[in-house]
Formats: sequence, C-alpha cells, structure tokens
Amino acid sequence: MHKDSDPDRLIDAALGTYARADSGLERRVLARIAAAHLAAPCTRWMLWAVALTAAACLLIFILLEHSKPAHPSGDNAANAPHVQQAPILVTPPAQRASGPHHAQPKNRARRPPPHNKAGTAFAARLPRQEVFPTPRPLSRQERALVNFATQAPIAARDSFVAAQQQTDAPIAIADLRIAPIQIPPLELPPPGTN
Amino acid sequence: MASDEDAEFTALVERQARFIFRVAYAVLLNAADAEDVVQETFLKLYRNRGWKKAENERGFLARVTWRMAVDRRPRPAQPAQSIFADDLPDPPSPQPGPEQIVLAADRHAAVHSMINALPEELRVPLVLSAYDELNSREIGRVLGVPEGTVRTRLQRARQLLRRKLGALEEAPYA
Repeated sequence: MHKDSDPDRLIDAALGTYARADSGLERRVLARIAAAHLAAPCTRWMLWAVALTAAACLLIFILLEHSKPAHPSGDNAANAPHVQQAPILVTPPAQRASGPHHAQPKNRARRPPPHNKAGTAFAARLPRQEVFPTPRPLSRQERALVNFATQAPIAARDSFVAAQQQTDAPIAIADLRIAPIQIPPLELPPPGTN
Repeated sequence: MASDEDAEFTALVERQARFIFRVAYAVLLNAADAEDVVQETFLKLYRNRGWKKAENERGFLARVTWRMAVDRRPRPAQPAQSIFADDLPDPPSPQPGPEQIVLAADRHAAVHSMINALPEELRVPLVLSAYDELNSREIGRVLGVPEGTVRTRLQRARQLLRRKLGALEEAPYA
C-alpha cells in the first residue's frame, strides 16, 4: 500500500513543478502587448484612411458617371463620327406595314431588347442624334414615289390611292356552307326474288 | 495601460500566464515556443476582447492556448517512446545506467522526463488535471473529447508513470 501511494505522491509533486516558466513571464507578456498596442493604432488609422479614400474615389466616380449629359452638345454632335446603324435596329418592311406595330414610335420599335446587355451598352454609348432617324438620301423607289406624287395628274394620284386602299383593305371571305350529305336509303330486292 | 479594462487584463495575465505556459509546454515540450504561444494567446485575447465573455476563465484560456499550440506544432505528435510503452517489458539492468543515475539524483526531473515522453493525448490531460486545475469535464471541453475518454487517459497516464517509477525504484538496488 505504501509502495503504491509513493509513486502517486511523487507524480503529483512532479506535476506541480512541471513546465515552470522562467521568472518575469508576465512582465514579458505585458511588454509585448504594450508594444503591439502602441503599433496597432497607427496601422489601424492607416487602414481606415486608405479605406475611406478608396470609398470616396469610388463615390466620386459613380457621381461623375451619373452626372454625364445624356446626349452631347450641338458641336459635339456635329463633330461626332457617323455611326453605322446595326442591322438589328432597322425594322423590316413587313413589320413596318403590319398592324399595331406601325403606330408605335419609331425609337421604341428600334430599341434593342432589354435582356440584351451588350446591345444596351452599345446603344448607351451611341451619341443621341438631334434628328432621329438619321437623314439619309432617298432610295430609287422613294424618289420615284416623290416624282409621281408631285408630277402625276390628280386623277392618277386618286386612282393610285384608291388602289392602295383596296390593297390594304381586309379580304372578305364568305362563309363556307356545306350542305349535309344526303344518302338515299339502300333498296334491297325482296327476299325470294332471286 | 491606464484604463480599467487594461488593469483587468493585466490582472488576468498575472493570474493565468503560468497556467497558459504549462498548457503550451505540454503540447510543444519547448520553453521558448511555449512562451511565444503564451504571448500570442494574450495578444489575441487583448485584441478581440474575447477574455471578457468567458464564463470559465481557465477552461477558455486552456482551449485557446491548446489550439494555438497545436497549430504551432511543426509536426504531428510522435508516438510514445518505446522505453515507456506499456506493451514492452522493461529490461532489468544489472548496473545503473546514466539515465538512472540522473533519475536518482533528481526524482522530479525524472518524472518530468517521463511526462514528456508520454504521448500527447495522455500528457496534456495529465498536465491540465494537475493540482485540480481543471476537472475531467473541462479538460474534455478543451480537447474536444468526452469526459470518459479524459478519465481513461488520465488513468492510463498515471499507470504508465507508476510502472516506470516502480522500475526505477527497483533498478538501482537490483
């Protein structure tokens, strides 16, 4: 019994002196913390200063971007290079002549679809024109029409307009009426005549 | 450090620095590294004010220190040295060797060597439990193991130390 208790006492006593730090540990820890504490505010303020400067620059950039004029001034518009309109912006003739789309404003009809971000960005970069759409020389057909309207006699013009209206008038189709099929009763010879 | 908060923290350092050193030393087995861990631990606590909301001060500090020491450890824990392994019999020595002479001269140093030679999973709970610094439940929380596992490890550690001490008691007079 005595033999068993001795090792335990020895172990406990040794554990009491196990891993003893050198004297002055607390002082060294506090000195390290004080040194870090003195250095920390400078670093912290520098971080804050850099962050605030970056935020201010970003805010100014955003404000400048939003405050840009939507369309350039007259001089700028005159000096602006002519931009070839993309084919997607041109309404095809068939769509132009058909129904309610014809009544819509042209700029609305020619606006690219909203989901097309690239197209929207491209359109946003285009300078807004004073006269929209951009004037361009008349085509051969348009010149012929102008000549016809200015030089042809009034009767011919009226007949042309009437013919155009007739062409545009909706076609009236009469209702189809199908008479029910009349099937005559089948006449069989009386039995026994064969 | 003039404010009340700093005075409180200074008191904490003076109260727990040696305990924290012991925890770090139990993992690292190196006084310089252990002191570095102590300083880093207190610096971290000072910066994030984590020490204020700790309910169990010692348990909280032990957990933080143990994690920092484990992170600092360069390699995984080595297995127990074969001379202290339980499954290997101690060869009887006809003449006292140099180790035994040193152990006879300073028994505490001998036990410290034995503690250092224990596997870390046995050594750390043993050190944390010394002089009732932490109970088994608190040690389990620190190490992230169940309370029963802590008890088993403590028994195992003491059993190994007892065996080695018994062998050393008999060997010089054999």
